[in-house]
Amino acid sequence: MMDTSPGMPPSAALSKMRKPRFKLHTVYVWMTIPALVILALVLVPFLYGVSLSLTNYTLISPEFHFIGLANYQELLNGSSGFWHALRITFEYTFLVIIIEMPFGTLLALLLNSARLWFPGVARSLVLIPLMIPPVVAGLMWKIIVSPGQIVPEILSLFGLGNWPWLSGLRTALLSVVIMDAWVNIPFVALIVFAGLQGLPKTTEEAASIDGANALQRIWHVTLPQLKPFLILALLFRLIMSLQQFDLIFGSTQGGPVNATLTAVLDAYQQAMQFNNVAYSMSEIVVLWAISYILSWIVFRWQFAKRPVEGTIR
Amino acid sequence: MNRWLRWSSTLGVNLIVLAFVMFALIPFIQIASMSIETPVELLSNTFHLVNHPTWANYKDIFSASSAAGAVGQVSSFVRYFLNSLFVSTVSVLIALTVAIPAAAGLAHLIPSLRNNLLFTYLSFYFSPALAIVVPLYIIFSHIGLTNTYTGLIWSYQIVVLPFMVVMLTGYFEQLPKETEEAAVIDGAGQWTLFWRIRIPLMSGGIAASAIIGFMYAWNNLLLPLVLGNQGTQPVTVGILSFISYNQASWGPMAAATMISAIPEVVLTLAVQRYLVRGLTLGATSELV
Repeated sequence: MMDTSPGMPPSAALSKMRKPRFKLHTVYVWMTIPALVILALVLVPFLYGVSLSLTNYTLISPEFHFIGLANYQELLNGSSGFWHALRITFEYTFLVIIIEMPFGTLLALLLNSARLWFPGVARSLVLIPLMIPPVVAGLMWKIIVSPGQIVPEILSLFGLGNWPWLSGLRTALLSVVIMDAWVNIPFVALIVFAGLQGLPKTTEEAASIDGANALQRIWHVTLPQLKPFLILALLFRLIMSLQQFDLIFGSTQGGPVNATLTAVLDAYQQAMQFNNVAYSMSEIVVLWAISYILSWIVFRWQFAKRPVEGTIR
Repeated sequence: MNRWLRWSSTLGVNLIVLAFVMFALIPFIQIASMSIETPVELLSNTFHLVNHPTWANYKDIFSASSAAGAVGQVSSFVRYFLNSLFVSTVSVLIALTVAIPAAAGLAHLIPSLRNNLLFTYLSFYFSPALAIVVPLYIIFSHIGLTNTYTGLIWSYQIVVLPFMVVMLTGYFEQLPKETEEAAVIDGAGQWTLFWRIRIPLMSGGIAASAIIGFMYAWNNLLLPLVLGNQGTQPVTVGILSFISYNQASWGPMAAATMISAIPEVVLTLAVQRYLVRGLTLGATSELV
């Protein structure tokens, strides 16, 4: 319904000018092709891996054949180590989330505080753990928590110098969680901080005028407005800690006596050390399904309910 | 509010932040100190700040007669470091080459299709990297790509490309429409529009996604661990070979740790304000 006669108003001229875009629509589709091809090159191995989980493929023998769901049956009956690995994975994820979410949020609130003396310096310094390779973080922590090194020495001031860290059967998992917290509290803080920066000042001022104190303002005004960001941080921490590999591989490699052997570590060992590729792939498929379902629930909870609108800068 | 309460809460905020900062820096304090200690000091088995600083550990990891061994003419650490640099840089360049047009295209597609694509990209994140690495290892060993740079760079696309497409799509969408309309009125074609208007306008975003993509590539462990060997593996894998040493050799390892952490810290501090978007695969601009 466009009037193209001469003397049309400027807005109509603009919409006429914009028209070529629609002709070029196919060009835009074509522009995405190279990226899709490369992604396909990565997708094919994934599908190949899923199909391998239905065989008895090992790295040693060239002979293999279709065995249906036998690998999955083996996984799920009690004799495999998979249940143990899954339990460790869930414990790890649960601990990571209940530690990192509150501390990350607290750190973000503090970094956003007008009372902070050196905001720029503090923000840069607390972000540093996020920037080093996680495997290097694991390695560093492995060293600094060994007996006589800096962390036990500091803790001995509080009478905790003998906490066994990575060498204790009961303490190893919590130790790795602490390392994860070291890396990822800044991650949570960064996302929440981005949310804080986008909040309008007006609601908080109104609450302040109404006589709310600082804690009440944070609890009743700030945090509810931050919900999308908190859930986004939760989504990423959930996915990434279910699949944490680097940090554990750099510090304990699953030990002592499988105390930190998560499902990903177990699958890695099965494939690369014991050559049970097919079995390993079935473990990964189960883990993938769990991650996908959990993150889909979180994703739906917040994001898919409403149309995409606006942007955060 | 009375003055005393104001002061004590200010002090409280700063002290807690200081505690977070100390927590973040503790590992670096010890590792930096260890990296300039002599073997005798390292063997004393208790933590102390260094007494007799020495560059010997740094010299060791860079010399061909390094305790950590050598590949050909160079020390293995130098080799790992150069591998990291080469594989990460080429991976990012390839990803940029395909991601910029893809992002420009996606930004013009209808929103519903785009959001489905976004979720597809995000779902790459949901799948454990092992799901791709192990099959890739089998495929690569059939076609002779294990232990090659080509194989590594190919596999690194899974780490770098999806994130880059999503992040850059966000930037393309945010470009001010007025400038483009003005350019079109001035007779600019789509090609000119793309190269002369859009690309320069988002050079900051492109640089940021390149650097964060580089960080993803540099940090990666699993892909090169499975798909590479001593000739092609990057520092993330190489550093693990230092781990089996006795305590006297922690010095070179600490030096190696410092060197493999520093480039990234410097690079990423430079793009700090883009970090949120990068680390969330661009999701903060798309979803929240």
